[in-house]
Amino acid sequence: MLKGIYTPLSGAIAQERALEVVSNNLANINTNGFKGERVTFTLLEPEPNKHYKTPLPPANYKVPFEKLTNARANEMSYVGVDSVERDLQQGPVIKTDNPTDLMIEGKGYLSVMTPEGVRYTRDGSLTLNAEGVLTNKFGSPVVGEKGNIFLRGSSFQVNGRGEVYQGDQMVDRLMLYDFKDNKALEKVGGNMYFYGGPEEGRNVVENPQVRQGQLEGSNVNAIKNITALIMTHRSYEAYQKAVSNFDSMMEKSSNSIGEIRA
Amino acid sequence: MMRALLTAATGMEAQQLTVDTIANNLANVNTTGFKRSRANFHDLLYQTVKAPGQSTTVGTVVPSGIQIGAGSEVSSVEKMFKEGSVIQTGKETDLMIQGEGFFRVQRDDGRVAYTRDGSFKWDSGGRLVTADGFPVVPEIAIPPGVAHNKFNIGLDGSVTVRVGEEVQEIGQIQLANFINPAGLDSLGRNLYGATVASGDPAVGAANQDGVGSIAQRQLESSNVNVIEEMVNMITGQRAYELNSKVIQTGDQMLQQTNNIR
Repeated sequence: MLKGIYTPLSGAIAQERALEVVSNNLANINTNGFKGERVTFTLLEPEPNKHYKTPLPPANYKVPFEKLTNARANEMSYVGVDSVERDLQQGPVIKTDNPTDLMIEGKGYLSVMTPEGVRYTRDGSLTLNAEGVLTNKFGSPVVGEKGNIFLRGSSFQVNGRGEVYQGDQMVDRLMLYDFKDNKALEKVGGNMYFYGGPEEGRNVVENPQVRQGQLEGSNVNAIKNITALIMTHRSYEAYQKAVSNFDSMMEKSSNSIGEIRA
Repeated sequence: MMRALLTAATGMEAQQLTVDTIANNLANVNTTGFKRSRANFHDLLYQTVKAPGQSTTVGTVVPSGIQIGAGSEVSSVEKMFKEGSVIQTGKETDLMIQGEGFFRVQRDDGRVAYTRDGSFKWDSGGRLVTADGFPVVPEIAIPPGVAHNKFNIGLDGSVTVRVGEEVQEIGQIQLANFINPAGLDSLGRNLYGATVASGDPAVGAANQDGVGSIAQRQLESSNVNVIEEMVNMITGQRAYELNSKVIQTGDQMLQQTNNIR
């Protein structure tokens, strides 16, 4: 068997993963606060199999075989997905004039208290529940300095610093968090992130920039993603060509070399 | 089978709902008191192949993991209660709420519904009713023998009629307000029903406690903005198209795989 056939196979599998990421980006091209992602690839070098013997040099050969070439027969390189990198660029501004729509300009995440614990989000399309608590679209309360933010109806103002006013009275201030390592944020769906990193990696944003009546759109770039889609498609095709070439080589060795002719 | 196909399908489904919502908005561009809806989306669950922060076999920590998303989904179709513009009609029974609040009307099943559509009429019994004949709550009835055009509604909703030289108050139109109007249930016929999400209505006279005032001889037009809807339709359609391209690509890739041998 030609083991080389597994190398393009690993490439094709990696491209399939890339396609999954591109399709998730494009599926969320109109999702508020969504951050697009990109796959990075890496070289996977499996450790040589110790049980696989290095072929012995011919009997009268003086130079050790290992010195001639450092490539052992079982040493094969593969490609794999290294990581899925998140593009943290600000999404486009969507003006809605809806008082419960908030946009965070620059850094920071809103914190919401879900039944599973605190989650972070950039999606500011909020709403009020029947008790007048400011919540996200799943009914999880948005965390302010004093806990839940209680409002009497949807006529309220949020100023640039994230302070929530009703009339002249300041109700509460939105708590925006920023993370030293944004990669430690795990996407959990529902436009929310989970932070499982160390406490010192999480800071309260000192000078938040909040805009009321606006939303942050998805930062997915259609052109970039369609280009990525084409590249993924064509590399997948190339890998498959390589697989079928290996296949015809193996066919040759099994059928043509050993052919018995009368 | 390829997950990308299903992911793209969720995207198409979501965008289809955007277009559905826009279609309803545009169909109601001339409906009195209509409030436009907006579809909101969220991303679906992620499959964590490699969690960020997890330690590797070589003793290092994964700097950024591998999480593969499963697409998008509609999280809500939300009514936007921005006030529509004023239409001067000159008709006595046309009322508009300037500010927050809803008229209360009684449906044929006896339950109270709420509406922003103030194009009322008199029925044969002299009661103030909606175009569908649902009476205003509490009932406003014009006394027999009084001309129908001789009545006046104040900013606070007090209804007065002139009987000869004398001004007589015959009732008070009450408005209901909700903490979360977006949580109201749309019943059709411009009516809304209270739900657990909207909270209980706070009923009172108009022009106080943050409730809007009543303007007579005016109607509130639909708050649908045609340009906004058209732009949203374009983005919705293009997003739909992009997702269909992913399906196409996924399909072709599978076809190639099938053609290896």
